[in-house]
Amino acid sequence: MSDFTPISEPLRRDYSFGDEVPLLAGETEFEKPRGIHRVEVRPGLVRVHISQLTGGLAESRRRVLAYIADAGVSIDFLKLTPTGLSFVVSESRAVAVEQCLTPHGYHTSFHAERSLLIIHAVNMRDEEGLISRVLAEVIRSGVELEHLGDSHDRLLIVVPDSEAEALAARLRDLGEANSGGAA
Amino acid sequence: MKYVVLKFGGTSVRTKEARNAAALRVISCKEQGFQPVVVVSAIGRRGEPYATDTLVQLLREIDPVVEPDVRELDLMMACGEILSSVIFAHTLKSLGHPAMAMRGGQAGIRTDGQYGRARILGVNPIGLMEVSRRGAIPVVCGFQGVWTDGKLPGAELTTLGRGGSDTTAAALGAALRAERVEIYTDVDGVKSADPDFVPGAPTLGRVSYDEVAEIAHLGAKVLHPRAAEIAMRFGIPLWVKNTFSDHPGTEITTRDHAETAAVTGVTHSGKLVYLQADLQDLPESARRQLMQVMYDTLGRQSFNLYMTNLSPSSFGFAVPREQYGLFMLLFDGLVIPLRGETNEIAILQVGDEPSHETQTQVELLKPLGETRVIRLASIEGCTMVSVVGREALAQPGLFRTVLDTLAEEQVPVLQTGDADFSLSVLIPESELRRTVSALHARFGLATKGA
Repeated sequence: MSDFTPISEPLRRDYSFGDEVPLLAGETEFEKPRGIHRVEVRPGLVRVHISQLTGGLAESRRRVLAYIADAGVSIDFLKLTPTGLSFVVSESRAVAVEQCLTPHGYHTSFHAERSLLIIHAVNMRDEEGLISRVLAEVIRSGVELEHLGDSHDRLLIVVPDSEAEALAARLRDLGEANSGGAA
Repeated sequence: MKYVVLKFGGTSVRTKEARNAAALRVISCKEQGFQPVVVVSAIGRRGEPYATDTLVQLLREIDPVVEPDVRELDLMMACGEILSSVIFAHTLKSLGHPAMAMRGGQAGIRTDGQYGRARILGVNPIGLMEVSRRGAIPVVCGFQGVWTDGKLPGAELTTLGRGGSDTTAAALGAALRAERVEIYTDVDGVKSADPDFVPGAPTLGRVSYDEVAEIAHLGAKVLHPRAAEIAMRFGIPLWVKNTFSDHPGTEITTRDHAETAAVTGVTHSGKLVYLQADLQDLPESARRQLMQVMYDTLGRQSFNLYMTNLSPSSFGFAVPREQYGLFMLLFDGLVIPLRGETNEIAILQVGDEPSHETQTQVELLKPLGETRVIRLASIEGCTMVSVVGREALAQPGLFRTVLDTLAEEQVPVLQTGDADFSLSVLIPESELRRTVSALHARFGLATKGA
């Protein structure tokens, strides 16, 4: 047995052995607060929307992706739409996408000068309703919400460059209002 | 003092033999010159006598209609870990190693005041250090902490929600600046896929924090992402190991030290219902009004959304199946007056066929003006499968590879989504096994691992 001192010996007062935990200055801060804690804006994107695909929809979508992959372009936020698909590429790769798709006569639209808003919220899915509340706020702002995606810790929204900063500020305010902290 | 935090899950403390095996891990750690700090979950799994669900059931069966208060629910749920910590501490003592059971509050874990889903605000490890200094092994109840509001006497016990014991272990590891945190379970480590779907799926040797957080968020149950995130933030080496085998386990570390692979694993999660509306014929202002009503309502009613998508002519999302009943109740037959150009009255119809409610609304509202039924197509029985990999998403053609693979297997893909380290597809749940297994094979994951 080691030299363990039985706990019957009174502990020093500044130790916390009851449930009364002193809130110490310099205590390590751990988990990030709930809700939105940061909003980032990343400009320099082009939104590509391909619609009215003919023939088997699934097969046509795969063919489009094959042309893009063969052109060596990496795409983000691929979404399947009722008649086609849409995605986002960096401005520098938009021309390559256009060149690889044009010969095939697809009904394609390119929307340049787009920014990605990244709304960070840790464990967003544990905060029931948060994604919906953010989307409602974006719609209420009147900004054209063009594309969106979500993951466990962030919501990604593509909007025109001209509206990105104002919307980011509005969402930061929403974060502060909900958490009482900085977003 | 060099601390190592060892966390044992329910199956590792379920029986006397299991507890002895776990205790030997702790003793071995001590004999290697480290100071162990143990974190335990409640004993056993769902349905077993001291499991958390069983304790909660004791409250619920008093009157199924009366919902227990969240505060009392937390006190009840915390009992499982208290029992477990006392029994485990006594097991260590009986093997000749002094130990002391400690509640979360006694271990210095301070949380916010959200009963049932508290987040750790701070940890004061001085009590743990003092117990260790006296030569004992602290055995801490996982899943719990305390908060004070200055009104209620004393401090209030809170539970940390899903993955609470893993989170406790990581937080104590960070507060103690531990050498490492070891999460013990009944599998060898983090697998490249669910072994129930891919028999022989290998155990990953060394994975980065962010990849494992992604894998965990997307369905792998072996480690909770909150633990990975805390460990990453404080740079604490994290291991997932098997209490009952000598397999080296999975080391979770920084990107620089992790093994490089285009794809790390295939995961699956969620029983979902996918809903999509085609708004092609609706003017812009009407679309906006409609979506605003929908998302406002979804937010107020705390719906969790997955696979959100939106295009100029449509929007869609998936909701958890357990929330679909409420979704139907709220939205099927919902009347939305559309102001502006159209001045129409929109009536939502969820599903292919109008329900009795929708038909009644249409009939009743006809005399008031132009009505328009907006159909939300619903696909029940969906689930999400994800390919996770730090390198993969940067490479052209990943979407193509995934969709080609599923086309070869004749699996319909309902929607896609991607994040920094993952690409997900929404598929019919009936195709889950085939999908996981096909993607696992396509990315050559069977040959990787520790």
